[in-house]
Amino acid sequence: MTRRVVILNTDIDAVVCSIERSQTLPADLEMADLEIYASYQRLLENEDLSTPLAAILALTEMMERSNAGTMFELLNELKGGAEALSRQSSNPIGLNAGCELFIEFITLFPHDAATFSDLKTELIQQGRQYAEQALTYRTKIAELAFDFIKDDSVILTHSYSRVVLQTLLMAHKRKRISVFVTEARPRGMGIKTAEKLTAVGIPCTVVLDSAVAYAIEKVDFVLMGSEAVVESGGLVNAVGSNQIAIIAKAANKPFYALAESYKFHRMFPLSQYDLPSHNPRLLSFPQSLNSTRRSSFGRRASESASTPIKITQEDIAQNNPDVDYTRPDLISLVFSDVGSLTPEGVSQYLVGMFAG
Amino acid sequence: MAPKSNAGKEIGDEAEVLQAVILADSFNKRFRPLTTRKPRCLLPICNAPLLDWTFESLALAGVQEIFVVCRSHPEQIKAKIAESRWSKPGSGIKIVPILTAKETFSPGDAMRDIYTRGLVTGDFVLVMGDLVSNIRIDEVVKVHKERRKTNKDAIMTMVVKESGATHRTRSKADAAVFVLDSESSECLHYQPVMGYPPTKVASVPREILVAHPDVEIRNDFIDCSIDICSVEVPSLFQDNFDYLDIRRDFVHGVLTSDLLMKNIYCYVAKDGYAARVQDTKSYESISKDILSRWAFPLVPDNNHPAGHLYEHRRGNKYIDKDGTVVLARTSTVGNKCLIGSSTEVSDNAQIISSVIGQHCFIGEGAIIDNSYVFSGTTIGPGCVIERSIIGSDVNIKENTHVDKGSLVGDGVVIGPNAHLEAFSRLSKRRERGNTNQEEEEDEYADSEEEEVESAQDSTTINLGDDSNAIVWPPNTSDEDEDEDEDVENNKNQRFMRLGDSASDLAFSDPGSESSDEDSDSSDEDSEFETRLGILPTSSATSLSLDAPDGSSQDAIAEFQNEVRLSLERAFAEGHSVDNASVELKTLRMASNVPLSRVRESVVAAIVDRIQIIEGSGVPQRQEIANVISRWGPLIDKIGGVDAVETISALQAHCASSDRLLLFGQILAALYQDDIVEENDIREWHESPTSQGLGLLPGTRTDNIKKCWEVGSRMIQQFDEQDDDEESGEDEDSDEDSGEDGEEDGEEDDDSEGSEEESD
Amino acid sequence: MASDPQSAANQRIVEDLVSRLRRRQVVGSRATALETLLVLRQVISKARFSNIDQLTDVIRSVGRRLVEAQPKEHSVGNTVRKVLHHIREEYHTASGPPAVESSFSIAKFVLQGQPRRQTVIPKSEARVPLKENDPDDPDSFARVLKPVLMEAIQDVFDELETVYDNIAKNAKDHIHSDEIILTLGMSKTVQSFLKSAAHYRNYTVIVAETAPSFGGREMAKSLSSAGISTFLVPDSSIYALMSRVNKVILGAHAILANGGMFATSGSLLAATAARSYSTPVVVCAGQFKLTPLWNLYHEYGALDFGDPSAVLGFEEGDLVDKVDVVNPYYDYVRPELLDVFITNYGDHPPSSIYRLLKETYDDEDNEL
Repeated sequence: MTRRVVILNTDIDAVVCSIERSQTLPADLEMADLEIYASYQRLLENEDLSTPLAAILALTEMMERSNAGTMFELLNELKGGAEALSRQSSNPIGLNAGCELFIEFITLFPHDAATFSDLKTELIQQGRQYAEQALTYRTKIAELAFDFIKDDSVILTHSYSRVVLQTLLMAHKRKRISVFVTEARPRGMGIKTAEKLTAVGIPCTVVLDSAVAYAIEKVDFVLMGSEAVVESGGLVNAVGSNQIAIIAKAANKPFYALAESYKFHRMFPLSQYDLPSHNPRLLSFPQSLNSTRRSSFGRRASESASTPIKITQEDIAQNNPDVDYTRPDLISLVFSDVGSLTPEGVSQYLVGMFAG
Repeated sequence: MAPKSNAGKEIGDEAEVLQAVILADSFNKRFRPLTTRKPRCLLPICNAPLLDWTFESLALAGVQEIFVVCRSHPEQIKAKIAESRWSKPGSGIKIVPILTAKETFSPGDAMRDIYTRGLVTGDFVLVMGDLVSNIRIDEVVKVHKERRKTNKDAIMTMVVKESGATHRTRSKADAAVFVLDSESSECLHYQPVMGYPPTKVASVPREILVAHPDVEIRNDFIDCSIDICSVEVPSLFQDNFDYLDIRRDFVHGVLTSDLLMKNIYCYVAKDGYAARVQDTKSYESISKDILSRWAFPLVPDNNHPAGHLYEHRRGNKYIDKDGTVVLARTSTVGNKCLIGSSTEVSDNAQIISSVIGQHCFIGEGAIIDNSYVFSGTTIGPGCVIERSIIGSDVNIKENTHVDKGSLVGDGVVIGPNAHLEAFSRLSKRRERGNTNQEEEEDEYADSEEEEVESAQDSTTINLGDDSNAIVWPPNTSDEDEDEDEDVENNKNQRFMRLGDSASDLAFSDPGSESSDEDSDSSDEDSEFETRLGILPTSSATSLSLDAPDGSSQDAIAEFQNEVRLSLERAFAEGHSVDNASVELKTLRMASNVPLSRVRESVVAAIVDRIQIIEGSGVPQRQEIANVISRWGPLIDKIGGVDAVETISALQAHCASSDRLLLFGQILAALYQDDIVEENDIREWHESPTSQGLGLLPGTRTDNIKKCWEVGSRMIQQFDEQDDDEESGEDEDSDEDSGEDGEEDGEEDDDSEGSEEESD
Repeated sequence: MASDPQSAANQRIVEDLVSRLRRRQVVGSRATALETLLVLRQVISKARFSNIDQLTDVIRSVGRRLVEAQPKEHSVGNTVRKVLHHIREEYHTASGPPAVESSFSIAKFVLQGQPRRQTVIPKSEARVPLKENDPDDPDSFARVLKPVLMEAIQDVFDELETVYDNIAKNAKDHIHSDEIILTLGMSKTVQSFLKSAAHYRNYTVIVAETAPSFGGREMAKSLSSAGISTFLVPDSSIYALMSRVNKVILGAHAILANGGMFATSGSLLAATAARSYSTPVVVCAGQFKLTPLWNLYHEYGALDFGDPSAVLGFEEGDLVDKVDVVNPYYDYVRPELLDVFITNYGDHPPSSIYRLLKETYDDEDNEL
């Protein structure tokens, strides 16, 4: 249970370390790890819960089950749980942010309670309370962003984001807006957004991911949800966000990111490949094909003609990333429940929490 | 609340409280039927009552005490003032509504009322209750007070705003030509200009040109009706009970009268904006001016007088800020629009350059073009409203077409599928049930409304099934009877009507006219000539004597009578010539008549003095010689020697009296007494007037010709004498006559003009 | 309360300023800041309150009223926020360290960071006990606090009084000899900055005349009378001259939270031209212009459109009907186009404005 202890450090390298893949195979997973992942999955079925909140709730559930007798043991347990979650999830960035926040909070929680179990109950209470409270954040963000949406705006958004959706729905009540939403391959979540918006009567058109540059001139500004906002103020979000930001910058259109404060993530990626979601399989070139080519260079054309190579959507999806990283200089503002921030302003909160 | 405590604040440094009087009644019916149940000053412009705009304009100037003179619907005005922000503590302004009698039919009556009540204690600002202005009136007041220190007779300063002659905000029907002294900007002459009958000529009294080396004749002013008046102005109204209009009667009266010896000045506002909502046309143009921010900082998004908050959007659109405005997705709001709170605009509706009040509903596909819709009005789907004013709580049902220039009164229901002709006027049929109650309120409107109502049977316009409207006839009858000179005459009113270009009434091709006037504004000096250039009879003579109006003609007749009496006294009592002449001079000063008139009168009186002695020639000649030698010198003592004019006057008088036969003898006597010279007679003789040219045939003309023939004979005699005399003398006299001729030529023309006039 | 003569007097003072703001009788960020401060001082000295919340409520409501009256004069709101900040500070020092926060939640943790160790030792100076909501003597709180508050307001006053001097203090470090400076409009701050530098350096100023207000002409006159070699150029030549300019110095009307600013119209033109030649753009502005607002540049009306008569004379009757004239007072200049803000409290890059704002005002006052 207390197999591995990774101490969260203020050092950036250490943070990156902490989320490195463990070499342990899924088969070796202990019962508790499976249990926490199961509860995490169950929580995610709730439409309203985002990954960081689900992670926090999963950790509170774990705490409830835990029989640790000291703070040290409890923390170790939680860290183990967090890591187990991260290991089993394909895209651990959001949940990492949640786990980090919760564990840091527990570390700093004043030990005033009479007994340890009282303290534990109180911590569980805090976790639940926060998750509940955090559900109101989207409304708060929507209200902030609302002021930036003027009447008659054309808005471009990407993929599916609950906070963006809420903002658009709120704006629709009082202002005339129209929305372009990207299809967001490979998962095609943009279609879901379009369906929901059309259902309430917001004019909405799905554009191809490849047609963003074509559409951008009609757009007044870009609204983007997020998986996480990192310390540089950059944005981690569904793949394609980065190119939209680049196009928006080129066209001089504001690019606004919406992020609840629990998505602030203590991470400082310098390139796409620093993201924990990156693995060698992404963007790799198929090995077998390469070797054939090399061996029979001269006859390549005729050979490929004889045995046509089929590339399926699944093949493409497998080799492609789910999320990408958008540099802070491409982002105009970050709206979060703590206020509208410049990208640089995000670090202030992260420093406040993790580097007191 | 005491003015004392307010004065302590930084608003004004003088301890004196600045007072203002608002005449909150229009004294005309240009807005009917919108004004049947509501005074005009409570009509909203850009969603704020006119009165609020006026208050704001005055507050800007630091006015601390305002008297609002109301006549029609005073209780509404009172209630409005009581509930407005102006009556809250902290506004720093004390507003006193004054109820004036129902018999107050003109601004003049209101001024007399102000006088009898003794409201004003010092210099005060007089404005109408329909003013929109951001001019710093306090500065004008300062200038006025400064002037008063040196010139006690400067009783009034009128604020005028420079604009083009064809400015949209400048009324074509009710404007004026101002003649100003360039240096002191004293207003020397005021002439109202009307659209119909078109005023084509501005006549400027000669004395003005003589007395003031530099005058500006301006036809490009918007008269803002902001007057800084001294305390004696109301008393002048009291003294001259026939003054009705402030401009046409009072200003004109003061300027033309030498008795009053008062001066009126103009303040030409270069900066700032000021205009009056005096008719439906200016209602439109002032709305547009406000929306185009000319009245800044009095704009909807900054200092809206009713305190609404509007969001200013690209293209000068103003949408209420509180977020209650619902604009459907496919609705279009064009440039220069104002939309009040809680208004809903449905799909595919179009609003173009219009003002929509609060709590309005615009149905699907409706088009509102250049129109003004007051609060609480519903406009059904598919309606088209063009250039009209729609009152409050009106319900226009679907597919109704309201053509340009229409006025729809409060509470009217029309449609569905109705069609309103251009310039139709509608008001709500009164409910019979509670007539008694309403009767009291609507006393003023009553008779007229009943009349309109009774005339309803004849109208066949389809107003829709559920309509409660009555249609007003195109021209109300009492206005037809008005004289053409009145500004309220029917055709002139068309120039004030919303959406009416009145092009059929325009007197000349508008293109050429505007170009004329363009050059006017660029070159003030040439204006006079240019304007005269378009006259049918372009001669300089029509300048000074054109159209002396009734009052001045009366004055002249009165003067002539006075002269006659004065001379009779002198003849009877044997005054000396000097004394008599002094008396005449005083008379002339008092009545302000040109010198030529005096001469005419004196000559006439002297000729009349001569008794006709029947039969014999010698006693008659003796009589003439006696009178002329005794009184002849008086002719030259009345202020200036002009023998030619004397002869003309003599001729004119003789021609129209029974002393025709004496003409030759009197002329000879005058010649004997050196009152006229030979050259004068020659000159007179040569002038076309003396020959009676250009006059209508008649006995008088014949007589004039007879006189001229007498003159011819005399000249023949002179010629005969001349032949005997030496040539040296001749040359001298030639020289003299040359000089005289130049000077007298004009005068001669003048006298011709006068004859034409008196004809 | 309404019958209370003091609150009525307060109301009158506030309403007086409100109407003067609405009528544009008080304009300019410094003038409005000073007027606001005068009103606040009056209000506080007359207000009756028995705890801090009542006091802040009074001030906030006054502030709201003033800001509503003239949302385009941002320094009004800034002054109110600043006073509120000072009041809280004074209150905290007067009432001693606040009681240790009883509740510590994740939300608070996110918002405020790690809990601070309360190591501040109460100052040794003798303090009158501060009692809130004293039922026996409800005015005691106000009596004790008022002198301190007056002092705090005086501090803000002093800051406004000295703002030009403090900004100009370091002028010689920013302007070097033989440099060519471009400026525009009539900004008192820039004027004193340039004049102060002229004591030490010999340099040339190019002033764009800044139509239609032509503030540049006034500026050029004032600078040349101070012995600075000055050129007055039309606005249209800004780009052409930019290649020779070493530095662009601008004034600001308001500095926004993202580091952008509102400045006299024409500033955007100059800043954009400067960017294309990589000429540094320096903004001189007092800290009272720092405005904790973001979304202003979306509001078209925020540029404050004046009346068209400066551009097109009203007497051009025929044109008035046919031409729409747009005459904005301000440009919004994006933070990317600016290099540094020189304030009365040091120099800051646009990206750190948000931090300054956090220090200057309390977050809770951003929305008054």
